[in-house]
Amino acid sequence: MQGSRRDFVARAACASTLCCLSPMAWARLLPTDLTPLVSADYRPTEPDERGLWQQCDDLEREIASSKLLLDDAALKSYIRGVMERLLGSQAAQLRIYPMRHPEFNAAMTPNGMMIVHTGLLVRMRNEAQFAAVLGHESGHYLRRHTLQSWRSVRAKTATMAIFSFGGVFGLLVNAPLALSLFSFSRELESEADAYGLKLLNGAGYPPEAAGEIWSQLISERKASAADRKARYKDKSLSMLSTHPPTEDRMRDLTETAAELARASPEVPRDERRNEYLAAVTHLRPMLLEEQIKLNDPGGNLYLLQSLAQDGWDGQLRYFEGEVYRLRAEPGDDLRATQAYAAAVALANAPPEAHRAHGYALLRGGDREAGHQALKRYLELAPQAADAEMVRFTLSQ
Amino acid sequence: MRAAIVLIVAAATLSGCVATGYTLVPSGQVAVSQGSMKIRSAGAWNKAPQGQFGLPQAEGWTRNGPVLDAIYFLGAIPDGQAIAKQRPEDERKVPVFHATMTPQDLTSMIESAYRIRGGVKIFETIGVKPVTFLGQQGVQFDYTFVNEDSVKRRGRSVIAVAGGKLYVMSLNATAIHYFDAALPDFQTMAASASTS
Repeated sequence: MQGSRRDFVARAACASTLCCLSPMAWARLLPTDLTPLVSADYRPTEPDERGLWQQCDDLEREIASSKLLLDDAALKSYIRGVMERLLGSQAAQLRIYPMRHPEFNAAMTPNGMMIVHTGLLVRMRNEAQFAAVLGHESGHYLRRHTLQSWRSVRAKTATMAIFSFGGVFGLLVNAPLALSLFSFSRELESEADAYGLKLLNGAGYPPEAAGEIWSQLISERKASAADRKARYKDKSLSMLSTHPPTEDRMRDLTETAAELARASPEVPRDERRNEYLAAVTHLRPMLLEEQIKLNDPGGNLYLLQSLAQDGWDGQLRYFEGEVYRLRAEPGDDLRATQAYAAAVALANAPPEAHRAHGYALLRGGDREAGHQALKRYLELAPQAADAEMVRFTLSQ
Repeated sequence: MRAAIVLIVAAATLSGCVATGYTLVPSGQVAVSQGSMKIRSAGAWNKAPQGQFGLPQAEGWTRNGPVLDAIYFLGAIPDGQAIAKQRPEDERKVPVFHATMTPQDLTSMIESAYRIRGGVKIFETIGVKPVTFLGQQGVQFDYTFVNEDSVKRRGRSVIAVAGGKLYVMSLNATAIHYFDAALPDFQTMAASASTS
């Protein structure tokens, strides 16, 4: 997977991501005058751009066959529908690949390949927020940002020597260091923000959804820091960060969104929350497992609470118990036991909630109730991967 | 700092790197993990340089290179210590080992280590069942995982708590060929293991 340094730089330049930025003075861009620079049948003509597209086509073939690709036909169809709402016939130029990666991120290449991480899917509260991300990344493509960025980076190739590691796939999907190194200038990120808002507004979504995303991310990181008794630090000021939500970027998005909404108050807007939930509900156990097993208790609890805005169900309570079990601080045994007890009393509790409840009760000294819960788990999931272990526990 | 238990996983993604400092493990009985365990080696395995895995109690072996196969030993981890070296300010922490952990706690602790320190993106449990390890009632944990290099690997960990301390032996290898090829050696070693 090792390529030459030149290959590395070219391939890195394929990707633009949600992350950015350089902290410099600037003025808020307005979406009104932004038009696409890429026509529906656009193909590169300049030699360097053709070469860049070729690199990205190679990369896309690797992504398309990766074991990390989330190959879900229903999700794919749903994303295509959202893209068509945003872009109309131009959506056909873009190809979206959901990838198994717990970080919040998305990336765009100049040839029209977009990567969306599962860590992004799990954090979106409605279709409008998801569409805001897709719109932002589409903005990078339609405004040809990656080519501009590539030409800029190519001039600085000598500085890239220290990063002569990694292969194409690892670079794009799992190398935030390299991605952020090639990230856009603040001006281009701002332009993509503005373009994304324009698309969002035109598709009938509430444009404030874009600012809400960053607001949620900031709140999540603050909750994470608070649980660790650490100070929240705006990591977007760090070049190596994948976390983009600067307070000022969120503020600009909010102001522009408000202007757009004021300009056309008669337009009906729908965040399409139910549609988004319907599209990801079958994936939610996997999406939450990815997050909870990373044991970031403050961030995880914030995420669960935000997902429970319509009320807690058994699945969410189970994962809440898992957060406490993994954190294992004083009092967490009781908190976990209570969460599991609540989970199994609610609809939608997974079988694992009974197992976790059973072990929590056993730890607390309630042997009879613990065994009852473990037996219930085996009734619900007799073929579970750990059934033999649970049967052994029951025999003790 | 890397988690001891998954450094081999991480190393498996660094294709093309040159391994230095490996030493051939002699066949016969050898002490591992700072002498906390003794096992009978089948030979043909190579020991990674000491100190490579963050924790002093960790030791790694490979036969064909850590990208393809690796056996990892972790011995005598006391109650209250994590199986990874980590700082209070780390956003994500591998759960701390406690001697009272249930089988569910032990397996999820290992899974979290793979995800947090090994960068594993997909981790699926194949089986959890009782096993005798170090003369103790232990847990055999089988799983598959996919790292950033998109290669599917299989893993088996045998886990026991003896004298209030944690002991683990893990085999990680590519799902194609190398896991099955190394499994007999691993099973022989695990069956022969004893605390010193």
